[in-house]
Amino acid sequence: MKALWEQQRRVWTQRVDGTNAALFRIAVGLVILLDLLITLIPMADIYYQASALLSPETEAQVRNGYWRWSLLPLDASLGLIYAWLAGCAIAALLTAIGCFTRIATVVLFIGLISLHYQNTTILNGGDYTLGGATFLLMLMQSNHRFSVDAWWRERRGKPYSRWIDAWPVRLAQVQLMLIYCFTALLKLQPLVWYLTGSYDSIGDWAAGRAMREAMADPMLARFPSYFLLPMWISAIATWAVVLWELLFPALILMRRTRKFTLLFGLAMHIGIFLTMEIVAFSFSICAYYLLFWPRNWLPRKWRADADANDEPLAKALSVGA
Amino acid sequence: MSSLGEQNKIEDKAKLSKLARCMLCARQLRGYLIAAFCLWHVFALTLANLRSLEIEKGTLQGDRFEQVTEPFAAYTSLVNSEQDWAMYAPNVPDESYLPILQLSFNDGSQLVLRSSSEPDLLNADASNASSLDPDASESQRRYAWRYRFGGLSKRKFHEHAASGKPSIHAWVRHRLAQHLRAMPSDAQRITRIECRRITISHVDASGYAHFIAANAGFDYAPADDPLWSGPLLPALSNLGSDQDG
Repeated sequence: MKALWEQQRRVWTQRVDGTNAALFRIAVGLVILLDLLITLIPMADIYYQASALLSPETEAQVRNGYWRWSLLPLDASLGLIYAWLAGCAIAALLTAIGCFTRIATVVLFIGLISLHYQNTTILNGGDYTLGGATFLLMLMQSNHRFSVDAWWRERRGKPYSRWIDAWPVRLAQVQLMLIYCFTALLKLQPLVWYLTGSYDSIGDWAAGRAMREAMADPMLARFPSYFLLPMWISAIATWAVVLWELLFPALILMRRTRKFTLLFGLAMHIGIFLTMEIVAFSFSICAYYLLFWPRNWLPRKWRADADANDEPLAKALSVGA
Repeated sequence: MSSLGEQNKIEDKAKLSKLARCMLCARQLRGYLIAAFCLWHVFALTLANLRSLEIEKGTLQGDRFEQVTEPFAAYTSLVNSEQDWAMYAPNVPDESYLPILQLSFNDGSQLVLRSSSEPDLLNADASNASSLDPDASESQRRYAWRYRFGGLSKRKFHEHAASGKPSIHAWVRHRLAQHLRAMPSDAQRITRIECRRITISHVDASGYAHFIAANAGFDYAPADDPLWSGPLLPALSNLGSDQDG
C-alpha cells in the first residue's frame, strides 16, 4: 500500500517533459480555430439566432440545472455573437502559438463554454472533449515549449524550465482513459442485461454487428462504405475496437503496450474520419494522444534535457507525460 | 560589540528559518490543495460517467445515487467537461428521425419542406405530399446515398428537434422563414402548417435507406409564436393555439 501511494505521489508530483503539453496546446488551439472558422462563424446567424435554429425554450431549461453557465444572454444580438466568435478565434490562435498563453487559455475556456451553452442542440462529443481540454489547458504550463512566451523569455535571458508540473497533464490523461473505458462499458451494457435476463439480445457490439451497422447510417456514413465491409471483418473490427476501448487505461499505462495502443487508436480515428462525418471528435481525441506520446518518438532536439536549471527529479524520468 | 553582532546573526538566522518554514508550509499547503483538487476532479468525472450506466435494462443507478452524485455531475458542467460518451451505445440505431413541414395551400395543393440532413429520394418528388405515403412501393421510398462532408452540427440539431423537444419550434420557424424568403407569394396561400416527424430505416440488404413513415405531428400557428419574425400569413391569422396537437 505504501509503495502504491509512493508511486502515485511520484506520478502526480514529479515534473514531466513540457514538450507533450506544448503539442497538446497547439493541437487543441488549432482544432478549435478550425472549428470556429469552418463550422461556427459561417453558420452563426443560423445557430445562434432565435429566428433560426436557437431554441430559447430549450436553452433556458438547459441553463436552469447543473451549474451550466454562459456569459452570453440568450437574446444576444448577431453583432455580439460575431464579436464573441472573433474573440474566441483570436484566443484560439494565441493559444496555438503560445502568446500570452495563460490569459489566452482563460479567455478561450470562458468563450467556448459560453458558446456551448448558448446552443446545446448542435453539440457533439468533439465539443465536450474540446471544452474539457480548454479547462485543463488553463491549469497546464503548456507554454514552456514551442511558444512565443518561451521565445520571449529566452530572449530576455530568463528561459522557462523545460520540465513542468505533472498534475494537469495527468488529469487530461485520466480524462481520455475515462472516455474510452466508459464508452466501451456503455456499448457492452446489453451483454450484461442479457446475462442478467433483462434483455433479449447481447447487443450490436458483443454480436460484432456494430461496425457494419454504423456504416449503414445514412446520416453519418461519408460514402457507401457499407458494402466494403463483409460481416466477418465487421465482427473482428467491432470486437477489437470495443476491447481496445475497454482496456485502454491498462494498455496505455503499460510502457510495453503504449505504442501499440496509440497506433491502434490513431488508425481507428483515421478510419472513423474517412468513413464517418465525425470530424471534430476524431481530431480533438487525437490531440489528447499527444500527452501520451513517448519521448523517444519525438525528434531528439524536441526532447527536454534535464539541465542545471531543472528539477533534479526530472532526470529520473524516462518517459514524458 | 562582538556579542551584539553574534546576537544579530542569531536573530537573522532565526528570521530566515522562520521564513523558510513559512515557505515550506505554503508549498506543502499548495501541494495538499492540488492533491485535493485532483482527487475531486477525477472522482467527479468518474461518478458523472457512472450515472449513465444502466445496471438492468431501463434501470439507472437509482434515485439515491442520482441525488448523491448530482453535485459531481454539476461540477463537470461548470468546467465544460460534461461526460456523455454514448454514441452508438448501447446499440447502433437502425432508424433515424428527422422533422418535416407539410404546408397546405388554399387551392388544395400541398408542399413538403424537408431538413437539410435528409438524403434525396431516388424515385419520388420529395416536395410532393405523396412522397409521405408509407404504402408507396419500395423503390419510391428509396433514398439516394449522400456523400457527407460537414453539417454534423446541423444534423445533431435535426435529431434533437425530431425527438419532440422544444427545439422543434426553432426548426419550424427557421424552415418556414427560409421557404417564404424563396417563395414570398406563398405567404398569402398557406392555410395549414403541419410539423411531422419522419422515420428513415438505415441501409439494408438492398443497399439503400428507406422512408418508413411520417407521424401525425402538430399544427404550427405563427401568430401564436412570439419568436416568429417572418411575414404574417393572412390565411392563418384566425388560427389559435387550440390548433396545436
